[in-house]
Amino acid sequence: MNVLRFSLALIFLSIVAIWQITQIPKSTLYDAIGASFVPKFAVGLFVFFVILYLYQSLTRKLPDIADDKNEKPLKNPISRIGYFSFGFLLFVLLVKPIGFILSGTLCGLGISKSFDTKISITSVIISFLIALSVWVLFSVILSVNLGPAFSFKIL
Amino acid sequence: MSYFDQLINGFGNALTPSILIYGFAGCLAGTLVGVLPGIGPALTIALLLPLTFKAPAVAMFVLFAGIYYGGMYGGSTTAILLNTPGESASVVTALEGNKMAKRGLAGPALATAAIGSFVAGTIGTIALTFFAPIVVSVALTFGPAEYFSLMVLAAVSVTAVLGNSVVRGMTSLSLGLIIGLVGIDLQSGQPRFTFGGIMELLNGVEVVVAVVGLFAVGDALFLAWQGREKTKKTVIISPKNKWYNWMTKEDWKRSWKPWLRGSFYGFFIGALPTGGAEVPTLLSYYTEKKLSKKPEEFGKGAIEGVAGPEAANNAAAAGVLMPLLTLGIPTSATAAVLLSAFESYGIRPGPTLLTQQSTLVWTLIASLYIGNVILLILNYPLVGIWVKILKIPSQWLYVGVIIISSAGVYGAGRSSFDLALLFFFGLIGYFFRRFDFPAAPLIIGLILGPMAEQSLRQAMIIGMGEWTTFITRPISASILFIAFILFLSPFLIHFYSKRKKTR
Repeated sequence: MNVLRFSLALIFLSIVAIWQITQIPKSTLYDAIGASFVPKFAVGLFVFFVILYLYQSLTRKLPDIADDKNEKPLKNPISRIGYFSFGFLLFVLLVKPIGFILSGTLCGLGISKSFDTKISITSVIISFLIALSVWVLFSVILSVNLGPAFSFKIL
Repeated sequence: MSYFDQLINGFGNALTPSILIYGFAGCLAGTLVGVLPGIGPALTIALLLPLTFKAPAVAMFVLFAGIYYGGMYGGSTTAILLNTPGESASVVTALEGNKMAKRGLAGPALATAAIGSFVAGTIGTIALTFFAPIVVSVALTFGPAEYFSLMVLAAVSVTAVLGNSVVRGMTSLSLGLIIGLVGIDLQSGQPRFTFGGIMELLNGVEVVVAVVGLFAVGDALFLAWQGREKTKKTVIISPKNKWYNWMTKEDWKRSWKPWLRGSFYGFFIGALPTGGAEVPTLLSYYTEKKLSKKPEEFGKGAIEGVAGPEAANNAAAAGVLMPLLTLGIPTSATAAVLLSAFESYGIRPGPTLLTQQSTLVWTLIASLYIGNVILLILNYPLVGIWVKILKIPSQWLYVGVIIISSAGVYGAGRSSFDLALLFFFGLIGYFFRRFDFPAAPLIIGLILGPMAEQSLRQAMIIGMGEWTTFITRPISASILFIAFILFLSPFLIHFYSKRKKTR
C-alpha cells in the first residue's frame, strides 16, 4: 500500500457511501430537510476531499511513514500485520464458543508474534496470565459481563 | 444558592471518603496511562464506560476527571525521562525536558513539570469556576441555529488547527460525520448506511468502539507493522537526588513566570471551540524562548521550556471542560468520550447542566481542585515507580492493551460484531497514522454529526424551512463567519507565504 493506493481505497469507500445514500428510503413524515439531506452533505464533503487527496497524491509527495528512513518498517511488515490480524480475528470468532480466557490467550500469542516474539511455553503462559488477569479485573472485580472464563460450545 | 455556596457544597461531596477513593483511583489510573506511551485518557475513559451502569454518576465523573488530569500529568514523566511523550500535548515538554535529563537535571525537570502542572491545573480550575456561569448565561440565549453554527465552528476549527493538512483533516472529519449518521434516523425512523438493514448497525456505531479502535488497536497495528519496538533501546534517565531537593532557588525563579503565562495560554485557548492542548503548549514554548534571559539554553535543556508548556498543557485540560460543560460541545477526543459518558447517564451537558445537575457539576469542579493536590503528591515522590513500569517489554504491553481494549468493548454488549468493528477502526487508525491523517477530527465528527443534524433540523423547522435563518440571526451569522475565516486561514497563510517567497 502506498499513498496512491490508499487514496484509491478512499475513492472506493466514497463509492460505497454514495451507493448507501441511494438506499435511504423517502419518508412520508413532514420534515423541513428530510432524513437524507445531512448524509448527502457529509458524503459530498467526503468525496470532495478524497478527490483532492487523490489529486495531491498524483501531483506531489504526500507523507507516508514507509518513505521515512528513520521510521520505515523493518523487513516482513506484511507478515507481522498478518499475525496481528489472525490473532485478533481468532479472538472475534472464538470468544463466544471457547470463552474469554482461551480466545484471549490465542489473541495474545498472535499479537506477541507480530512483535517478533517466538511462540514458546513462556509466551503461552504470559498470554494466558494477561487474559486471566483482564478477565478477573473486569468480570470479578468490576462486574462487567465478559461471559464465561472458559466455554466448550465448540465441541 | 450562589455559585460560591454550591462550590462549597461540591467540596463537601467530593471530600466524602467514597468519592475521594474514586478521585484517588482516577488520578492513579490517569497517571499510569499518561506514563505508558500509546494509551491516553480518552482511551482509558472509553474502556471504563461499561462501568457507568454500575456506579453513581457523581462517583464516575470524579473518577473520569482524575483520569483526565492524571493523564496530562503522567505524560510529562515519559517525555522527560524517555523522550517518548505519553500523549501528544507532551511533545513540547520532551524537547527541553529530555535534554535536561541528559544533562543530569532530570530532578529539576520533573519537579518544574509537576509543580507547574499543579499551579496551572489549579488556576485553570479557578478560571473554570468563575467563567463557566458567565458562559452559561450567554449560552441560555442560544437557539438551535446558534448551536448548529457553534458546532460547525468547533468542527472546522479543530480540523483546521490540528494536523498538518486541511485536506487530510477534513477527510477525517467527514468520514467521522458519515460514521456518526449510521443507524436509524430518530426523527423519521429511516435506516441510513446500514447496508440493507444489518441489525447491529441499526443502533449506530458506539463512540467507545471507534475511540478504542483508532487509538489502541490502530497504534498497536502500526507499531507491529514497523517492527521497531524490539530494536528500540529504552534509555530511561533516572533522577539521582532526593525528591525534596530537586529545584534550586534559581530554578524556582526561572519557573514561576512561565507557569503563570502557560496557565493563561492553556486555559483560554483550551476553552475556545478550537480546544486541545497542542496549540497552547507550542505557543508557550515559543513565548518562553523569546522572553528567556538565557535563550542559548533552548534546545540544550532550558527549564523555562518545560515549565511553560507543562503548565499550558494542564490548564488546557480545565479549559476543554468549559465548552463541554457549558455548551455540550466536545473539542478534544477526551471531551468527546466524556460527552458520551454523560449521555449514558441520560444527562445532556449544556447551559442547563449547571442548574439541573448542579450537585454533579460542582462536585466535579471541586474534585478537580482536590485531584490537583492528589496528583502533586503522587507525581513528585513516586517517579521511581513510574520509571519501573516503563520497563515492561513492549510486546507484552501491547498484548495487555489489546486484550483490555477488547474486554472494554466486548463487556459493553457482548457482541462479536462490535469486536470486528473494533478491528475495522484499528485498520483505519493504522492507515491514518501511516499516512498522517489526524484521528481527533474523526471522533469529533462522529459525536458532533448527529448533534449538529438535530440542531439543523430544529432550526429549519423554527425558521419555516428558510436557510436564511442562520445568517439573519446575528450571533449565528457571526459564528459562521468566524468558522469560514478559520476554514480559509490555512489556505490564505499558505498563499501569502508562497507569494512572499517568490518576491
